[in-house]
Amino acid sequence: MTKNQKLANHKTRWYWMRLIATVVIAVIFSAAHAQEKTIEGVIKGKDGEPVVAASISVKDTKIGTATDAEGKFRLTLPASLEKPVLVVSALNFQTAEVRLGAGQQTVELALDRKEKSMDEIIVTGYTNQKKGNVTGSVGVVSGKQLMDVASPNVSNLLQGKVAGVEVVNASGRPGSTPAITIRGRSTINSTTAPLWVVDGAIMSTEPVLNPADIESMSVLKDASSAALYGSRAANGVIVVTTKMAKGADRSDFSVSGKLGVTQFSMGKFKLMNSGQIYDYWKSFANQNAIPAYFNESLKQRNTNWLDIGSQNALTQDYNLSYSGVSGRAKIYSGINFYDEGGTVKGYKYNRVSGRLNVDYKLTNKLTFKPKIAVSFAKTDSTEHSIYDMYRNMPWDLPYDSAGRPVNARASGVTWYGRDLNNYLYDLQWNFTRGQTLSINSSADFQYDFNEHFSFKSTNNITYRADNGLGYIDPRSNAGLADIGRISNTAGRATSRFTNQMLTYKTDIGEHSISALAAYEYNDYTYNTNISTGKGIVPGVTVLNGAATPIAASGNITQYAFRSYLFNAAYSYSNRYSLQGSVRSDGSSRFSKKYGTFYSIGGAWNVHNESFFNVAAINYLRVRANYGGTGNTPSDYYGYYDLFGLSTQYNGSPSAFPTALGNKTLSWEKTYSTDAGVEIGLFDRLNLTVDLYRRNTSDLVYAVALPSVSGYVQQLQNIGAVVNKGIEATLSYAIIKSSKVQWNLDVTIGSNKNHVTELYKGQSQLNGNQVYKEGYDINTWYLPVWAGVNPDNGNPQWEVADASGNKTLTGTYSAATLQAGAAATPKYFGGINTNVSWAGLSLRVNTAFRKGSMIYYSDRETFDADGAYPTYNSMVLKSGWSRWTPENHNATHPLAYYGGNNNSNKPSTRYLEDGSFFRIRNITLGYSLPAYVVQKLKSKNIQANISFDNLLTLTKFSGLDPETIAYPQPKRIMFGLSIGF
Amino acid sequence: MTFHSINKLATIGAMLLMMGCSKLDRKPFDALTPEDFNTSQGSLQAVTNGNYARLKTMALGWHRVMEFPSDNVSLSGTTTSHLFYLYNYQRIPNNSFATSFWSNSYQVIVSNSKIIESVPEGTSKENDQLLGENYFLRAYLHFTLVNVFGRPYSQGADNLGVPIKLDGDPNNQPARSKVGEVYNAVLADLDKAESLMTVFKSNIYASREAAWALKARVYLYMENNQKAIEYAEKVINSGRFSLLPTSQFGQYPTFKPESNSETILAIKFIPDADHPSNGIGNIGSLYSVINGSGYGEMYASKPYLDLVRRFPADVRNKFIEPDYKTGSSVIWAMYVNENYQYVNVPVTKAGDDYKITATGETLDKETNINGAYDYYIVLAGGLRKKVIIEKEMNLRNGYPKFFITKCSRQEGQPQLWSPIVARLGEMYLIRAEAYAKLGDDAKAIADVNVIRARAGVPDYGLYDASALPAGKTALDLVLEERQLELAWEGHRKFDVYRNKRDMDRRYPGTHLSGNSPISLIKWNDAFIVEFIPQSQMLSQPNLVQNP
Repeated sequence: MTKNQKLANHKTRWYWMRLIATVVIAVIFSAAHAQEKTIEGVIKGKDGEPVVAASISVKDTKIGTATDAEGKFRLTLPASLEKPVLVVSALNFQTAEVRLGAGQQTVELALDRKEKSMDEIIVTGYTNQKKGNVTGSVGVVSGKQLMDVASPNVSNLLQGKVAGVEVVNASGRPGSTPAITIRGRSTINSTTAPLWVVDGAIMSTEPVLNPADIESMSVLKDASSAALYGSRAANGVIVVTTKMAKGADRSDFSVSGKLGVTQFSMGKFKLMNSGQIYDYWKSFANQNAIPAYFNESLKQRNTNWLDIGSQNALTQDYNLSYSGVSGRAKIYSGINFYDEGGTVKGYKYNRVSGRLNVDYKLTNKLTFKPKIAVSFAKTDSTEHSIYDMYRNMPWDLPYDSAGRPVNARASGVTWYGRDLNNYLYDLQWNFTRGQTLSINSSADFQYDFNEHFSFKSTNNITYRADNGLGYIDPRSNAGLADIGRISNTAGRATSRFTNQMLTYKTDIGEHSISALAAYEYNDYTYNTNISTGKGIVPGVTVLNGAATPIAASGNITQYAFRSYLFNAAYSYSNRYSLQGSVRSDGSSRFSKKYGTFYSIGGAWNVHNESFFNVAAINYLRVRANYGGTGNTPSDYYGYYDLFGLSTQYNGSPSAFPTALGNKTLSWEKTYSTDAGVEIGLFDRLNLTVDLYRRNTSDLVYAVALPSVSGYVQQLQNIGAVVNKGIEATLSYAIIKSSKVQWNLDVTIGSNKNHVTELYKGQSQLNGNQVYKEGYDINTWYLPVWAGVNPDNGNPQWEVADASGNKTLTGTYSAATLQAGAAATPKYFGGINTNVSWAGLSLRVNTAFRKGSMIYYSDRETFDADGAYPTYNSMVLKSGWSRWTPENHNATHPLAYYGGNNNSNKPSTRYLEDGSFFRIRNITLGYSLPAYVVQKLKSKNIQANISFDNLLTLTKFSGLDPETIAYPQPKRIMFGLSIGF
Repeated sequence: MTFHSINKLATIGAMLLMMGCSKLDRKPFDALTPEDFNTSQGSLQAVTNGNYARLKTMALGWHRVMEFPSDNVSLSGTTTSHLFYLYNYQRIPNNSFATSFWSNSYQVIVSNSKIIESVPEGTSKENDQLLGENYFLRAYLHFTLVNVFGRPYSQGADNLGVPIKLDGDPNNQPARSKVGEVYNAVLADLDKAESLMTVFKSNIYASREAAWALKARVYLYMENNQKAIEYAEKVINSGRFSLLPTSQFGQYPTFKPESNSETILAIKFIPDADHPSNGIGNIGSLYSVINGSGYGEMYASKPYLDLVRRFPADVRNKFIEPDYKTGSSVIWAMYVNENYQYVNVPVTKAGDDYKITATGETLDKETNINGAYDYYIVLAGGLRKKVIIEKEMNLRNGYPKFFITKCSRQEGQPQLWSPIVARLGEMYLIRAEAYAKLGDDAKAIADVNVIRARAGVPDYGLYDASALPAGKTALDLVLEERQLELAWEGHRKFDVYRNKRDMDRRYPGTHLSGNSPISLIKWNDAFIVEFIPQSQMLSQPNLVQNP
């Protein structure tokens, strides 16, 4: 980055800080000092306990405050307001209104506790349903629950919060997105990612969203809730609703800022230092094979490459939002600036995003709901090489005596590491940059014909433009031959979505009926170009400055869906609910375009039955449903025989048969059954338990064809897999006095998976895993490590004959591949707890996973018994030991220069327990008391300090059992938020 | 709401519906469907080009499975890449290069067959030429496959070879045929190729001469020596090719193939487009670092160095570029110790003598055939070792970097090279070997001498059929010359084992590191043949694995 750019970056940051500060100060001091009167009061529960943080607003004004730890509040009103009406609302209490008499200056109010409401509205995508009518399994996370770990991505924040939703973080690199699997993997070649729906529009991929803009997220897990999304719903659906102003005639600003530091997190992992690697070499059994340069003076050269490549970095996250209601219009607007530096040096991520949501009631019947969200993310990378940080030798010195990076490839330089790569040398000049512009815009409207019929139109265009620049300097090793290179990449994704829906609802006595019918169309185009030029003057970053164009490529890919959907729900007397839906989906990816998906579900609110009268049970409902969803193959053109054109011979056009089409290709079909119980006990305990079974058939399977067929594979609908599991969500109010509230939430999901049918019953390799009938879909398939031969320190593996008899071998290629443990966790979830007392709050969120076996492939190179002598090695984990003539009972073979009989080749030796328990976040917050807040003319002021990834318990020998190579950082953040 | 605004609403609704009413078909932009093709020459040419293009894609694996098991190469480090197991004979059944070689070969073979099935013969000279090219490629790939995955023909025509695939039907998945059957199929295809190809386009496309050249090689491998001579001579006498003169021979790989009079057929790589990512994935990348381009981890072997350095005037020395340490004036006397490691002893020149810098001891010297001296170091215990005198070199893991540049520098681009399928030099050596086997030493040695003289070997270094060097047969000399001449072009492994000779790998290189290395390979060892790729075994149950 140049100095100017740095300056510009600084300027932008300062600009934002100043803007926020100005707004805050202006609002605080601009309040007029007109003639005023003061009202004081106290709000209690019916039990006499004070109600903390109850919100008090004055009807038809913008005046409001909140109660303090003793339930007290104080309001200043203009004297002109003679008989003001106070609206009092608080969590878990029913909202109340009091009209004050003229001159009344004190008020005391007792609030009714809210029953665990079955009237709560659950967003299920096309419909909003009362909780008491929902027949499917829907996990709801509120916007508030999301906001804990500092992350620009919503998906990161879901970990541990919804039962059955497994979130595995892929990398600790800022801005990286995790993998989400809902209720187990049910596909081989297609995506396992859930479908994302934002404000009614189906997204082509995980959307770019500012977590602070989110009102709620619903995770649709079973057929009854998801089948309305048909052919794309088999992996579950995540429905996001963004914020909108609530209430009447209000105006709320909120400013918040978080600033903190991240730290590279090593876990238990340790690399050898100079002396340790020296001693390791000394232990090699074939000392005569060691090159002559090896001598004790090497111990003087001690470079800690992990120290060189890692750092403490800054994270900043600022939000400014406004929501207001006035007359016919409601508005929500949010701006976010997020900036995070990598804990591996040289990587910066930042994003500016803004959103504007408007509801405008043109007439009593017609409402326009335009929305637009724009975000611009930038990455700037001169990232240090993680691979080399783990493997470069401590004996190699990265800098010369003048402090300049050494060119390990230059003639005459002594360099011991096998890759001759001092990555710091090329990093002096070379970099990559990326920019992503995302625009998500909706032009929605709703027309209510009468109280029964409405027409809803949802129309969305989502556009994403990715631009990348790769710069290779003429001075760097990579750029010498070409005299430097510049590469530009551009990708543009456009997704268009439209849904025209007619809804009907009516209540006739105790019967309540609702229905919808809709037409939907969605298409997607991705357009990409890459161009590269060579021959540049150092510093030039555009292709016009390159002497010769050397490569250009580009492509367009497209798909489209057209769908018709119908849903009807019926409920009787708040006791019985019945619901069914049908969707017909047409897809461009098949020769036979259309398929139909349906579901049916019912629920029974037992607690509403007259015969049921158990005081301890607040509510009890059971529900069950059955239905089908689909998963569309990742391949857009699977039914065509294709001749690929992306090659040339001698610069002339070339075509080669690349794909064997399948005219009968169709969706993967998942038929699932779900049964759930929801129960509320003692006003304290809420428990939801779901049992499910998901049968997926017609797996789209890239059947490996023998090459004599002329093809590598063909997509076929062959194979089946079953997922069955149990999920539980428990929330328990440990203490719920008005002063102190302590809640505990636990989510846990357990999923069992096995493949029931494969092409011709044949097992199919998938890297180090296998698809095999009767086995988990993520089953490891490796030679079984039989430890070290105590007699000679050599490695041993199992040989299994057809009848399962096992013998040992010392020859790697003779070892039998065996299906064993799986990467699928046995169970996973989160434990979250929340304590608040007198303005103080403490929140602890954790996530855990048990029984997932992970293959730690990096150990093939840095725990290799000498096979890679000129790579650094990891220090043996406690409990591990190496065979020596004295220690015959060892985990690790005798080391040789060059390795011991392929001991480092893939085997169960490197399979490790990836279970973990992680404290994802601890947030300690303090809300200023109401009287102080009001003095500052604000509605609320909260300060907090939070810690991310403070502690991880795991047996894994590496850095992070989730991300493996780039660990998730530890982080401490200081935050302040003000509402006014 | 008025009637008027309902109208407006209806209009908007209709517009939105229209947006959704386009057709649901989507076709790829970077591929064609069979309906897009007809049998015009243009599309026939495009698909034939596609087959050559696929040979480019697979060139890396193709080169490695043939060259790395030879004694021309010396690897300087262990590696995660599966090339390691081609190099050190510790076979693995899922070797990615062997898999890629098998898989791509059969894909091209099927594409060849599709063209052969769909285009009738005799429509035009140009179409017949294209058909012939496809027959040629199908023959060449079957031939290479059977030599990598089957035992040499000379070790038994009844051994298991590879599947013979002569149609475009994806459902016909033949099992392995016998080696002899595969050779017969290869010859049948070459007959067709020979008769159909009448247009010589250039040496980057198959031609009748290329078919003859391949036939010569096939017959040589079958030890049908008369036929081998016949076809080698057809090529030699065609007048289409000429040996590069000595003055240009040292630049052999730098020419673009069409400008190289000696190349009979090469798979052409073009600058930039076929040198992506700075050429890091190209064949030469492992052999040298040129201008920062390449890994440079595999070097010329010590036995090869000894062979080629016998005559400093031999221009084949130019294909090896020692990587000297810049700024150093140190001279090394290099020898290989009993652990097969290089030992580099700094020496000082004094007239014709070299003194060991540390001890002042003078190296023994003996006059050699060139009238210069060979130098010897006397080690403790009286052991006497011949040394290489070299300027101080850069090392990797203790291995001096004798970069191989025979697969680099085409048209000045570091790792650009068009792999050679056949060249005229080989034809002389085929004829020489066939004559030697027929007992005609004079003719055999005459051909060897053509190659040696062209390489710049001085007259006193040429052989005399009536006075062969002690202990050497004419065949020994032909095979030695084949190694010298055809190194890094993929011949050596086949040449050794088909002649039932053993491969001596007792020289520096990481094939000897680790526990239980393989240093001496017998011609009848099971592991000279690659495993049938595991993925193929799984997807094609009628395949039988090699022992």
